[in-house]
Amino acid sequence: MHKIPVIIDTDPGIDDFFALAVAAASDKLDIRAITPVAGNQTYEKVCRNVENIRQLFRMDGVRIATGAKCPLVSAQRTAGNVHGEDGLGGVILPKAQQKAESTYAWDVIYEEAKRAQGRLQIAALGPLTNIAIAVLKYPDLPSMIDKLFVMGGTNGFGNVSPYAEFNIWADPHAADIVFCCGIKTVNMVGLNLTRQAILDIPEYRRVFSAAGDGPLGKIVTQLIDYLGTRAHGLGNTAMTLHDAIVTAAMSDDKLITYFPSYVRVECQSENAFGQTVVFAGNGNRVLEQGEPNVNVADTLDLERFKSTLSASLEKLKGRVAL
Amino acid sequence: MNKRPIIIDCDTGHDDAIALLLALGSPEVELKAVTTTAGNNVVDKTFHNTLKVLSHIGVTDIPVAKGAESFFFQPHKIADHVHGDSGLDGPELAEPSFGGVKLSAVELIEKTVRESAEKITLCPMGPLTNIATFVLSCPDLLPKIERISFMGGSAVGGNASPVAEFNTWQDPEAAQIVLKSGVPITMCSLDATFDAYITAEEKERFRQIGNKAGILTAELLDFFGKFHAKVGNKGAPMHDACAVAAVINPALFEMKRANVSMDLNGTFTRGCTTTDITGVTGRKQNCDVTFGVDREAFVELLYSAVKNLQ
Repeated sequence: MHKIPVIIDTDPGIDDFFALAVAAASDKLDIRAITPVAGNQTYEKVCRNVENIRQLFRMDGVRIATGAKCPLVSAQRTAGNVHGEDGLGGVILPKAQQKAESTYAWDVIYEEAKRAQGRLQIAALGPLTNIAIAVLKYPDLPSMIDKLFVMGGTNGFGNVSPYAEFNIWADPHAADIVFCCGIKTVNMVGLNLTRQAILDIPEYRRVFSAAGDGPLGKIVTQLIDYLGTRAHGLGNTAMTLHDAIVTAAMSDDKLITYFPSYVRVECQSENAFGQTVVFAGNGNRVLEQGEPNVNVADTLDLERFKSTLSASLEKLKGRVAL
Repeated sequence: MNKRPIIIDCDTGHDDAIALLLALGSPEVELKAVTTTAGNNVVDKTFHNTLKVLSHIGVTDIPVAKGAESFFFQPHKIADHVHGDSGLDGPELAEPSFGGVKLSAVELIEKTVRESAEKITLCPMGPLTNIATFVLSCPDLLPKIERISFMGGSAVGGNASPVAEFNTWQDPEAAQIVLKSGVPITMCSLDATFDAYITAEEKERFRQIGNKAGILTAELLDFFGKFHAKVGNKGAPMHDACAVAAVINPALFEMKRANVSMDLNGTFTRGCTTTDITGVTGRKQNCDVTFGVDREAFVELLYSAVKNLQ
């Protein structure tokens, strides 16, 4: 079986760490490149985290490009309150020997899209700035992408405001460009989906015990502990790993169900800045709308996701580089 | 029993008519006045429809006033696809046997509140233009408003746009003025009102009561139900009656405290009642928002009210 050529666009980010773990462990995905983007933390920090994670998981031969340092139009806002000052909750990873290449993310995406001959899939786990720049610079790119998975948005309630989710809110103009650019399959995995994987922290510990008590197990424990304290600080007793669901879904069509909808991103409203307006969302009734441009993630097979997480860590535990 | 004095502000309308019957037939409330607004149709029609409904069941002693013809900033769009050409298509109703008062809607609300010994509850069920004008022009009377229980808005999912409910979408600035008034507010939002529906079988029970109000209810539902069946709703939702039911018996509804503020400047979201149930905005809670309804109890409440009438 041919592996799926993929690019992971990411802003690690604790849940990005787990997303990369799932992708690195998958024997169905061929990771061609990682494109860092400013999001959960500032660009320098997320890029350093990407470099360190690539080495930790021994993702040799995976390119790291140079991504966007700020949103297209709006002012930059990070999520240090969730992911910590360094983006990984203060967890120290071995320092990478190899740095990112200077080629820009959008150019690498285009190169890899050409190389993959219509089979390229992209997982976008942060703000959609890199992807937007890529489709603006290369108008023929959308038709060359097989699938774009986006962790972002929501059909219902948000997290940074009543209806906006962080990644889309952090660069709503980029998101609207990407949703409307003509990529034939855009799968929006929003909070309404990722919240279906909210588990009590002890439950996550159980899932993560597959990482063992060696070096990987220690790192995983520290990350979960940090996220746990943040969750408590934000008034929660449970947490989810938004981004990891997306990379798990890339190699598993049965993980998530979707419904097609016309989706636009609100870029003007004071209250709803960054809201993904799902025209065919639950509760919407007979409204005029455009052609569906997005598949909105609707239901998650939680047990399947937990198994994938465990299996991925199990697989990686003997492979980490320290 | 002490009846709670209420004023209904409506744009009659099928579910408005049924809300009027609920108020008139319920011993818990006393309908002091009715004011009308542009909304489902132009105000001349909603005013006329209101008089026709009241006349039909022999209630001719309640003051009715005509209010806003247009909205603060938004052009008026009627909902004739839902309520028909007259704004109340379906039942054959005679011309009204009484006329409205010489006051405007706002003046009638002002007079009624000023003259009342008790606090008054307002039940708006159309765009909030009249109520906002009252809020702006009579700040001294706001302490005499017990509560505003309005039908409108939605926490998630709209009916006029993907995120906005028809009434708040029609006059978002008016809704914002009301939400910021400081008066206690119950927002009877689509999150619950879509579930406050009457089934085809239940409709026949109303017809079988045999009185004018029961037959009127069934005939209103005959017409109103067609639209809702066409668009795939489970029955005919009695959105507007919820504004009155939430006054008679708030326990019928599952309520959440929230800050609600209007989306005034969204390209896709203008008219949405932004409902913050987690406190993420840091804004003060100003509303009790309906998130669910005990449908069968609601229908029972309506049934006994209609039975009490002519």
